[in-house]
Amino acid sequence: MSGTGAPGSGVAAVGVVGAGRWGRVLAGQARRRGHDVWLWDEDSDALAALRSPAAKRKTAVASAALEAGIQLARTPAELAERSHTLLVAVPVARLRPVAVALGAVVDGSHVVVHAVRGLEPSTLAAPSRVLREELATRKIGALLGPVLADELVRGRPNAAVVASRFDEVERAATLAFAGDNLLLYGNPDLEGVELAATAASALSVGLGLALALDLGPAGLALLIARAAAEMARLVEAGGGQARTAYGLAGLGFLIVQREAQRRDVQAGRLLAAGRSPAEVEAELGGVDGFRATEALAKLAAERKATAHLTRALAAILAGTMSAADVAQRVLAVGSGRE
Amino acid sequence: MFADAEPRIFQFMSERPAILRDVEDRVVEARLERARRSPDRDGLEYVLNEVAYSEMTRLDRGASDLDIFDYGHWHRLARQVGRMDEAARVATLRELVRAYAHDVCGKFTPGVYKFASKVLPSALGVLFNAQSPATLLRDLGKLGERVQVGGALDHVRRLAQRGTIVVVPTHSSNLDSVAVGYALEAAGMPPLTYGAGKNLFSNPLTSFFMHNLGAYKVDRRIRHGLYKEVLKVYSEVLLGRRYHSLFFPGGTRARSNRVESHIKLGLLGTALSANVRNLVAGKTNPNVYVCPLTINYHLVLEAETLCADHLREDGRHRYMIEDDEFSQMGTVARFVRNMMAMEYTLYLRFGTPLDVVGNPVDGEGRSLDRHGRPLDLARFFFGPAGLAEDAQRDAEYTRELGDAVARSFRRETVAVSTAVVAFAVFDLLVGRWPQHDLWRLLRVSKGERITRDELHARLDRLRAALQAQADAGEVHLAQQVATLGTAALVDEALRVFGMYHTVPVLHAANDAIEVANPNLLYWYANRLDGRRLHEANGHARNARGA
Repeated sequence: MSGTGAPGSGVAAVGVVGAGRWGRVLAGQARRRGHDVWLWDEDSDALAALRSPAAKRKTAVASAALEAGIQLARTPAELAERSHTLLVAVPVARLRPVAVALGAVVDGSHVVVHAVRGLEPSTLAAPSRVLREELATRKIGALLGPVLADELVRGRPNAAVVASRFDEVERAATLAFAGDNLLLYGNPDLEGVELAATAASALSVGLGLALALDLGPAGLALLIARAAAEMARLVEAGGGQARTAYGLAGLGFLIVQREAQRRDVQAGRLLAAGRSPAEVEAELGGVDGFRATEALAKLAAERKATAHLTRALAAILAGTMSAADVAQRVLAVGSGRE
Repeated sequence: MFADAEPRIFQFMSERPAILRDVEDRVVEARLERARRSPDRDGLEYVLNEVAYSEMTRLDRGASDLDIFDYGHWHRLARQVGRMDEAARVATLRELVRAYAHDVCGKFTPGVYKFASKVLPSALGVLFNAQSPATLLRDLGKLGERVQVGGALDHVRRLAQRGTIVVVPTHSSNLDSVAVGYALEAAGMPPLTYGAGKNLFSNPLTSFFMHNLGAYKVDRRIRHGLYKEVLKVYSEVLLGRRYHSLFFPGGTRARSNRVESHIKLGLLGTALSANVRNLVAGKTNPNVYVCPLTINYHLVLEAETLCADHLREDGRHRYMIEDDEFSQMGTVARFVRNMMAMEYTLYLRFGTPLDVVGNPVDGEGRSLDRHGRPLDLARFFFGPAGLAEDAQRDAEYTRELGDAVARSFRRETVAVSTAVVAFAVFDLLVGRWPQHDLWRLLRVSKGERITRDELHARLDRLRAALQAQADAGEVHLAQQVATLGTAALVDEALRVFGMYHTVPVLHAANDAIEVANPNLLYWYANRLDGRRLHEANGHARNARGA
């Protein structure tokens, strides 16, 4: 039974799944808001490391030390029993096994929000679908948008979308995480928000590429406008609403990627410099934008959606086109109606 | 027939006054609460005005003896409501709700039920047929063979002991409720209460039985919110008191003959409300189980009228059709007689029963997750306020339940010979005229011939595809479709198609098959639409959401 700290009392018990940086930052956000926070990770070594004094010193060096007062759950059962609202922050490739573990303990009353970008590689399923398939509860949502962990910790303003068809999910996520440093906006278009976030990650690679190729301000404007239109088509192809692509999860995220020169953008720059995708991954330590690109190119082919940019990026990743060819090809597309 | 206690509905008449009081109180309380919360939008003056206006507009278009009040009554209400004080408005609201509830509320007479279940088949036989008693008896014996109930029947029967069942069938014909009633009675299931169009109560044959077998009256001509609320609350009160029910979740008979994929959520949502209220009240056996059922006809009584309505090019479809084949006793008689004499089967198939949020339910009444693990249904209704209703959440749950019902309809569809052969022929026609839109195709294909060889080859591929879907549990095949040789299957479909419709759908012409009624051909083919069975890629396929 999940009992303690039901939302509405003003103080909730929040469970965070995933002890990676993003999970620790969001756990800290909830803790600073005064909630009881429980953290669990399927990698028990990672959790044990967080418990050891040495690790505490080590994480303290990173910008996201574990906030004081966060409790570590030994099992998913303990997490689900202690907390009514759960936040899942793991890489998309690890989502299925995590969802399976939660599936045995989460009941119909839990609110489960994920902060997972991308589509499951083998099925092209959005994270909410993976959760829906494995969990009893229907109250599932996503928290996605142009949020930067460092900025959040520093207390500077950030914003994100809480996407769910259930108002209760929006209320629970707002209660758990919203604050002066994190504005949350509701959107019932869950599939749309997930796809917009994934597409923005993929197209950030293209943005990095364009920046490195020095297309100039006008060329860049063209690319960003095209990227926004492409995100909208991909969102629609996946069953979402086109306008969701122009919101925080899509366009908002694309802009923050560029402004903060995040990893996906850096990866595009390195591709433009002639590095192979494998070299780029090795140098940066994994690139979400690459996975997103591959998944969306497949989705676009399956759903017959027009996606010139994504397909061109996928061709670079597959080694069938060079970065320079792509710039030529992509800019040559169009000159028809907008 | 009933091993256990007397069916619940046998107590209906003694509970009827309490049921009516419940409905009245709940609707009035809910309305007063809404009026308190948003007086500008839901104030009683506004509500009563809206009702009066809606009824006057309707009666302007034509009154009938089914109306509970005449135009003058509503006109007086509209004139007076502005001057009434609040107490008078509350009293008026209560009177209206009471009048509507009485109009809706059915009756159930055990005597009539027992009489009907024993005598109705022969009574119908006598009405429908002037055959000798010997042939009549023989045909009635066959009626049992003619109606086959399959799928999760035992499962549904067990759940009827543990909680309240709501049978939700596909809807093709006004004979559906008769067919379901007959089949469930024969299968030893308790009788169901159900909402039936008020117009059916004016049919002298059906009216008596409808009135006395637990049907309640739904007047589809009344469109305002207060009436719809009375209907919903009535259904909810019945379910809450453990009366098994039947809803047609597609709302109205499928005009296109496609298996319903769009489920109306209004009435379906009453199953959830009743379940949550039972849980909150701590009742024993609180759960309501939703039991999807497909009704698969070889021929549909009202096919010609429904098809004509579906194909109206002006798009002005009729929500209610009152002058169809069902209102012509001779046609109904011919249809039923053919069905009994011509040896084709009506297939009814139950899908896995669902709980009110769309999870499958096992024979013990436990909800299961995708991996077959038992779930505590009550937990789904826990929110910040504990165990309670939450309108927004519950509407989402009901939408998911509707999706689960639609998926079940699809899986439990039985592909019958007429639909399979019609589909193959229609697909060949689309391939002949890929540029034609649907209407043009239907105009030019009358009299078109298809050689037996061509049809047999297409049918073989279609049956292989259907068999693959059947193996994957996505459809079921009628026995003839599964076992007959291709030529025999075509002959069987031609025989059935030729026996009832004024213009046969297809007929044999030497070595070819001639399309005699393209509209009905398309209509019967639609039953298998949406399964990726098409080979021809023509414009006609894309009409009306094909």
